[in-house]
Amino acid sequence: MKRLSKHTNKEIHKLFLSFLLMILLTALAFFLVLYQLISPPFLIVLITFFALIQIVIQLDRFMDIREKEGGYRLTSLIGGSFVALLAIVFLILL
Amino acid sequence: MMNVILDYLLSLPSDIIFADISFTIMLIATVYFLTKYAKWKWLWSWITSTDHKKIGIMYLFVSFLFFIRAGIEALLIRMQLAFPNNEFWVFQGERFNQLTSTHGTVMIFLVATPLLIGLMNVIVPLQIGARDVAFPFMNSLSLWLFISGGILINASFVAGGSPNAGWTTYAPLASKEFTPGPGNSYYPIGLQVAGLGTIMGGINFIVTIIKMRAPGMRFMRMPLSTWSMFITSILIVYAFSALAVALLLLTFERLFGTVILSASEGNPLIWQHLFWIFGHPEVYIIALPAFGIFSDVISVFSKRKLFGYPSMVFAIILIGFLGFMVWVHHMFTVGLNTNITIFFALTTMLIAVPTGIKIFNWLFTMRGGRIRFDTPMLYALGFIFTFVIGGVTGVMLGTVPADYQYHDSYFVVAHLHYVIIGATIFGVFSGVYYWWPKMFGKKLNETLGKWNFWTFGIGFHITFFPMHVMGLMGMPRRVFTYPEGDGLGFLNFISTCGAFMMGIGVLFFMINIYITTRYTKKRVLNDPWFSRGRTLEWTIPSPPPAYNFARLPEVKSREPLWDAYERGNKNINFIGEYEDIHLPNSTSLPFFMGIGFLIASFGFVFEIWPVALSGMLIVFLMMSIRSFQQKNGIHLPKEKVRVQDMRGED
Amino acid sequence: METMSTQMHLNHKQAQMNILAFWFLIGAEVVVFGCLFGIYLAVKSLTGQGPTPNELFKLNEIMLSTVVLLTSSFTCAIAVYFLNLSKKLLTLLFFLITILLGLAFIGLEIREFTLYVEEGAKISTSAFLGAFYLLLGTHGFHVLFGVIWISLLLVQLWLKGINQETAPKLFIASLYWHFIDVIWVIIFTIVYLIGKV
Repeated sequence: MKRLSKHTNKEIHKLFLSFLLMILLTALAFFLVLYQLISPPFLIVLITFFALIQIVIQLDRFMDIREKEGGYRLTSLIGGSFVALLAIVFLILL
Repeated sequence: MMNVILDYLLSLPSDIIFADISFTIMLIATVYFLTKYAKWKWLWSWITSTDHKKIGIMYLFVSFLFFIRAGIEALLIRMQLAFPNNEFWVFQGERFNQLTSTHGTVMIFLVATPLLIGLMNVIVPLQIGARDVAFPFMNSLSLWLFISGGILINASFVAGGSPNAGWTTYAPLASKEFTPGPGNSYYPIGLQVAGLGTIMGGINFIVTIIKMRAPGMRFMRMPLSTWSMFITSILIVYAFSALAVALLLLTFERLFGTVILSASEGNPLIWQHLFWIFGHPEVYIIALPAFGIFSDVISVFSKRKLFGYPSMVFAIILIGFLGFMVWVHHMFTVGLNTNITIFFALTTMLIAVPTGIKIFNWLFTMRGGRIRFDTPMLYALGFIFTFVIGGVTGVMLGTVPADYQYHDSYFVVAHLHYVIIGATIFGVFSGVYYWWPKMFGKKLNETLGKWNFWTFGIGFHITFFPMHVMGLMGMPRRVFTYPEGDGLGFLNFISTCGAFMMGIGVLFFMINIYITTRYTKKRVLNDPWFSRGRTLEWTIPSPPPAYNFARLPEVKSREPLWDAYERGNKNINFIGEYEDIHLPNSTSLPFFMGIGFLIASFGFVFEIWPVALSGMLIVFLMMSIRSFQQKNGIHLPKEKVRVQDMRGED
Repeated sequence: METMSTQMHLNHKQAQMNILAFWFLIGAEVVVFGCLFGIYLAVKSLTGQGPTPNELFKLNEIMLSTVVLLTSSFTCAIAVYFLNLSKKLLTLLFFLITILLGLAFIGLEIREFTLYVEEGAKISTSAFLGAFYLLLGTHGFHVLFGVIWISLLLVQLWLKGINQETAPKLFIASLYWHFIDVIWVIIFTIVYLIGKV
């Protein structure tokens, strides 16, 4: 029982840390844009990178994408992203 | 009141009056016969069924009805085009545009796709040794969404006018500015409903194949039909989502006044991109299952193991993957960047490689085999011949400079009919003849089958081969007539004759079904194809019991049944013990959800918001009921299963 | 022992199939939103007579809705955590917080849209605004659907407790909620932040 509660605390901590990190990244991106501290092209790359980290956190920490059949789950996501990316690229190139 | 209605009816054009009258007669006849033979209960049992075999048969039946309708449209198109400067009935100008648009839309979305989904429903669980699909309820829902979307598009003809901007419905022609009236609203809304059902079906089959294979049925032991249907399901999930967005965009454009697709303020090319991001994979969605069916049929009727199984699987996967990267070849003439165009021309030609692999594998399978020329095999052979022609013209169209010549001419019409009829329709005929005994326990009449094949096949080539030449002579597609001096009259007349021959071919098929159902007494055993069956569906009775497999089969090779025959056994070993079998409940919720979507869609098309809202409320209510339902299902005790199974074996 | 039981519910064959199916639905949704983003990026500069992104957006308020939705995603994860421990009331509580935050988000979004419309930025004003409302509207509709869906599930949880039926449903709903949040992170970055750069 004691081990269980210790385990629980650890889990909650993990979730909370992920959440904190996400809020932090969002706030950072927000302030960077608000005060325009960096030159635009680099800024866009940076905040896109922040967004990617957040997505990975959500998928990994909250959505258990790696659990057991992670293979199929990831495949489904990659397939969708591949088609979505093609669509985005060629719609931008329009 | 009566006067108003009568005046309205008399003001209608003659073709709509004709359609109304024939529809009313059919409706009355249906009701009369259902009542006379007391079949209402029987009908309801089908409507509410969650048995994958029954759902598959309903898919096949309904899409066959749509096939007849769109086929009649094709005949009307050919009648109008039979002679130069022809004026057949009312089908000129606007009316002709409606004909070609609905012919294309119905044939692609409501015939080719659902026919194959119907076969998928019947076959996939049987071939992988499963008792059902993963989600029987969702399966039934897919069916009813397809039917209500189909009804919507078919009803457009008599209620407000059909879509008339071509089956591709390019913007800005399809926007309200150029085509006011409800006609072109039917297209995005009707297809949205049907497409939703198709996505659900795709997900259902992906999960079924991943999770419900019999013990020992590894991925690399699955029959080719199942493999191709698996890849098709994946394509469906991704491609139809892109279509959903395109349709949503068009709906907003027409109903809520966005200007994204407008030529002056937005960019109409967005529609073309999104449509073809869906549209090209769609070609493979309807071609791959046919490839799978032919692989099974050719191997069985040649009495040979399929040549190069791994390369066949690899080719299917590669075609599916490349299929997403070729769509711009439909848009070469819009003048995109040269590098983009070259990239897409190359990927297009690359697809010819895996397709070539498949053709050669089929030929090598037949080599040295003891071939029987039954109807399914005839269709398979006809397919190889036809599809090679379609493939070659495909590569020709993929050549960018030449495409500027072929674009929007009858050459394209010829090409697309060669691949779609050559693969999909031949494939479905082949599959239906091949699996008919499994579905209904009787074999279709072989003589009539041969008549069906030869009239349909020869008629097909007479219809569409001249179109290549017409295209090269400069006849554009989607025109309702042509001047006498162009020298197109003779070719067009031949083409029209061929179209009627195809019609006769379909008539033979219908007669065949009628005669077989009515007069054939002989019931077939498990494997009606002269003990040449190779895969699991031929190890169980025809038609199979609701639970398919009384005991689960054990799969040790790619062709379990054939290996059992080779060892001198009459059937494979079923290793599983008899057990209590759980079957899903019948349910009427999907049917009512379909009705809800139908009501809502009419509301959206005519922009009557209370109707739309009440339709959506019905859908939502049904979903809530479903959410709260206890899903008990029916439990079949193992004793009963055992007794039934023993009786079947006598 | 109790930890086991929820895990067992989730490991049941039908539950595993439902979860896998839901992941493929997410794959489809990725394409849906990908195409919507593509449309938005394609017409972003076509502002016509209407305002440009830079003139339109008010970042402070967007930041608020972002924090609200991120927090709801976190509370949702906590709820699933308690679901795994088979703690009915705590699960209920945290899911309730989640949907309340979701409602707050929808409220903020409606307020934002009415503000824009009052400023004359209607859906038909320019291609940019059309694509903007289409993308945001689709996302907002997903949030609304999630709120209604989870509320229905909470009624079932209240009536039936955590069992073979409710546990997988709640787990799948949580996946859906996180996915909506992922989409919002992308919207926040690509539409709002980059629109302001």
